[in-house]
Amino acid sequence: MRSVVIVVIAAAVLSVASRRASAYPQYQLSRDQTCSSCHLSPSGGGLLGENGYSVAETLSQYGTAPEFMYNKLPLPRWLAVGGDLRGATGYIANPDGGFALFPMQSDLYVHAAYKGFSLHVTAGGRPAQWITLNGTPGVFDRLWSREHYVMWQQDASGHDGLFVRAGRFMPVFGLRFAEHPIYTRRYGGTELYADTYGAAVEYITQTWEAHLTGFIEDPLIDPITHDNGAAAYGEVRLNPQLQVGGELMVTSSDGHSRVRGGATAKLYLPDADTLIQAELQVAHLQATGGHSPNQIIGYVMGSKFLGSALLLDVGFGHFDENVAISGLDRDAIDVNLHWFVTSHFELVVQSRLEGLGVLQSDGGPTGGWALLHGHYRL
Amino acid sequence: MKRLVLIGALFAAACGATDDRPRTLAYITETILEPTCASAQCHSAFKRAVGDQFDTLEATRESIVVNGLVVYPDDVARPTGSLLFRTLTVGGPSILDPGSGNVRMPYDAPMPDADVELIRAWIEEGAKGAQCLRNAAGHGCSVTRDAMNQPVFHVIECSPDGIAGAIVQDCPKTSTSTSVCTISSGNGQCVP
Repeated sequence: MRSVVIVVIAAAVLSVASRRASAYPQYQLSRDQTCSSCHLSPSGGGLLGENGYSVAETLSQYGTAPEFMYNKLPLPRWLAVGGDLRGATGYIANPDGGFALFPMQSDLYVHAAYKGFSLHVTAGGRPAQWITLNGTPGVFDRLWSREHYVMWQQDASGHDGLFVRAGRFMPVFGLRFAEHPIYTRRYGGTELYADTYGAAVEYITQTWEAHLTGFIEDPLIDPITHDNGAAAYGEVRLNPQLQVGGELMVTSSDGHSRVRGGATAKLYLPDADTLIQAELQVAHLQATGGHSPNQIIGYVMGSKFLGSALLLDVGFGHFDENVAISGLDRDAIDVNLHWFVTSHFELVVQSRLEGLGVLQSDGGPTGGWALLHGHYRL
Repeated sequence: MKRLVLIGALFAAACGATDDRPRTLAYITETILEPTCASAQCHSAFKRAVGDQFDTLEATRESIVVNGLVVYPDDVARPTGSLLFRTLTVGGPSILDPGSGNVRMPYDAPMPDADVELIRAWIEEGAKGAQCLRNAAGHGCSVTRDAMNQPVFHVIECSPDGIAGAIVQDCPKTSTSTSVCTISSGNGQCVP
């Protein structure tokens, strides 16, 4: 029976272990210069463009037709449709251990464009809100639209230039790692389902890009975060293998406010076909009552492309909840191995070792997981 | 139990250590519970797993009082016996599958012992802010436990910021039924 509990909780907690992982920042610099080169969204993620399809085919072990439904259902040029289905199984120990098997994602994307204007909608499953101990959520309690926005782009047929969008989407901030348990996402202002209503002005070139987003607490549903604020992110590619960036986010919520500032960097080593990327944030929280802790959130990841269809990530994360108080830091070591089997199907072995004060003499691992994650892109 | 021992050792070792963080429900909510517990699939407003929500002060107050995570005044005398403290250390009884054993929280990431100690100290100092619950005006509700560790509901005087006053009414309890205190239109009242 205990294993049943673990499985249930695993489904509730780890079913999101890498949801919305359709964007791979590992590809930037190593395979192309910008996210928008491969994705329709200026911030990356979700639907692929023609170049993205080409990359998906090229990088897979058994390249299949990369288009939606293997191009068996041809679409007009003004319409793009896609989707992501994910599930995972494996072992979790944090600190109890047990087997887990759970769905992760079921999203459908629709993008309709007319000249420079476009409408994007993501619809799919969501975790139902708790009702009561014996309550059963209805079908509509399990469905939602995580993203929906209208966008205008300066170059209707290109990937660069000015983009303006309004609607519901994730504020653009930092490196936008795919796996949301990564500390710079979980504790860094872009946790899972932090998508909310806002407006963004974004400018992208091959050598630099800038994103400015203003956002509000979602007034329509019970949201993940209750923040109102603004986020700014910019990056400069000093050369085709090196990029540095800066980030700033200011939020206020329910009597407290927070300022996050940080830096990002990416370095691609072509001889080793390896990308190193890092993000460091310093956050200042103005809590109710006047106490104002400063926090440090960091993550560094090395990604090695092994042949044409394998990608190995090794990452290290650090989060210090309050730098003035000892013993409030935690660390995580992640090792992920991606196998791009076909243009549409990917297998990932994901593992994490997480603990309190791993770098301290009295610290030690306190949990983690090892999961086999399957991802099918429609 | 091992974690309790570790925390006990921390208390001993921490004598004289500087942890001047406010022992208030607002601070604990904003700096510990919200970032640690209120994630997408757990205790955010989005999910409200097992009915607990820790992403705002008001939601935390309601969860602690209504779900008996800290029972005032009983747990003040022995904070380590509160459901909240035990859930963070040795684990609490599973709500999703009663009788199957304990589940320790947070499930997906460890909570530093210093944070657990701050929560313990807050309870010991009176659990201010979550002694009772009420809406904009009127009386509120509180819960205590009887000799059999069963909940007993009371209508009480309660300030808007969760400070308990005198008991106005004990909700009737018989061998076959228990009435509970609920908030309706800002007033606590016993409901069969």
